[in-house]
Amino acid sequence: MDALEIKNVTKKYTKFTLDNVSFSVPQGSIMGLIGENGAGKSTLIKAVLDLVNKDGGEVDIYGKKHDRNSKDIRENVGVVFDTLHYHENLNPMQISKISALTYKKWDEKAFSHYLEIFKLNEKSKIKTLSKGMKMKLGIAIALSHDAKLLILDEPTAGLDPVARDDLLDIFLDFMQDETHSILISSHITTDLEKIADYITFIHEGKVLLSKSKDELLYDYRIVRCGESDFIELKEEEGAVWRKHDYQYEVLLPTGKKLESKYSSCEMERPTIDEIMLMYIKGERS
Amino acid sequence: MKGLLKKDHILLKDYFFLFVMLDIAISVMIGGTLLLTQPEKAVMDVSRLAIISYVLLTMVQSLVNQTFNDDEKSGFLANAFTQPVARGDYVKAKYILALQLTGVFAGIHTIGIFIGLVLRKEPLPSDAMMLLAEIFIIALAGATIISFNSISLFMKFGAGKKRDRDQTYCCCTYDNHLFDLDNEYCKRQYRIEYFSACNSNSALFWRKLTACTYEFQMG
Repeated sequence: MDALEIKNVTKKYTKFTLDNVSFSVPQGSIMGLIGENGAGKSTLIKAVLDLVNKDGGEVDIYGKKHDRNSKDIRENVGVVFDTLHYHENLNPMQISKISALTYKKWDEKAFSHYLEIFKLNEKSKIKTLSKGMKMKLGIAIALSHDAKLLILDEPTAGLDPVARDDLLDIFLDFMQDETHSILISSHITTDLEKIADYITFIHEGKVLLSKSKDELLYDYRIVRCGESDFIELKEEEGAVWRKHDYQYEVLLPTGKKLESKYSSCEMERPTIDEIMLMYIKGERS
Repeated sequence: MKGLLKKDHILLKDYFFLFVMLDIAISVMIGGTLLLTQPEKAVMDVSRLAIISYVLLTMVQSLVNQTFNDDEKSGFLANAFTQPVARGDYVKAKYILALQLTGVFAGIHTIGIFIGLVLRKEPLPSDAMMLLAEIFIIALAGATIISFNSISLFMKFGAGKKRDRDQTYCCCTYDNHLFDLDNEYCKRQYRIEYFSACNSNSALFWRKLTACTYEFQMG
């Protein structure tokens, strides 16, 4: 069963269109959403959460259609944005009281437990917390109402490596329950390499690829070659290339199978960053 | 909805105490000086009733508006609509809050005026209780109707439209100045760090700025 299914979601703006985006997040998995700034990640997340009016398409969460009236569905969804959208004069204890009246399954003990893990004082006002602390508080809130699906919009943006690593550990801990799932968008692809099971790459409002991370990291190859090899390489299925001063760099989605064929070329496994850059800056036939 | 009300109650706590003190002071003053034109008879004309309703309305309206401003400033709506909260719940919570505040302040008002009457050290007029009941009911009704109308307007043009306004906000075009990135509102609301360090002559800057424009439009 899919935790989240996005079907042909479309959102049109004057200069930008989120165009028929479809992909799904299988239950028990982490889907990483990548793309350059302005690619449409945040818009997609807002469309999924019904914070903007969609021009087309549907979003199913655990098999149920999600719209702005789906209060029951939202009981099972924890959302973390890149900033904490609570008034700065509130403290964690007050947020707990508010959330207890908002969520049917609000777990005060779990919340206190997370505050303890994150070393957050329950009486410290939000305005006194650092960016990392605020993110941790947002995650504590998202995790304390028995959410099964976490939707995270750049939760690690602006955090130092230690805080980022702490958060990634928390997400992995959340995934210990195999019914749990995460959709996480991030510019920091190294974070996604650590935790994601699947990667969806959005570019200019369209899904360029949506595959398992292993497939991307183990099947894809970047080939560096001269012009003579390039003529043959660019005809391979799905090839994307960039020309540098003295050589070509070619991304091959089926590169693993072609290793013996192009044994004379320098071939290596790409990182997600490299794949993203090739798709954004490269040429295709 | 209870959660939304709780949030507003918590945030209004500090202002509330101040407003209660202010309301008591004004009410005592009205009760002691304005209402009685003749010692033996309580008189209330339209202008005096207007003063009472206006004071009450100002109290309630200031507090309700404060909650709208708080929500807008903190981006709370984006957060609230990801929770089991419908848009209708948000509207209802604001109306209930206005009703609660109107009730509380109308009560304080009535008691304050009564205290003012007692402090005059003159015998209470025979129809004083009737007058106080009238004040309570008329002030309550007047303030409720006006504050409800004002909430409707706010929901139509203010924070309540946040969901839809997200789509068109664009800091880059703020004040018709495409590069006005130093604007405090832009800094607070949006992620500008991705291109702020770029040299404005570089191709990278232009590419990132285009991306930024999209991002801003998307909110």
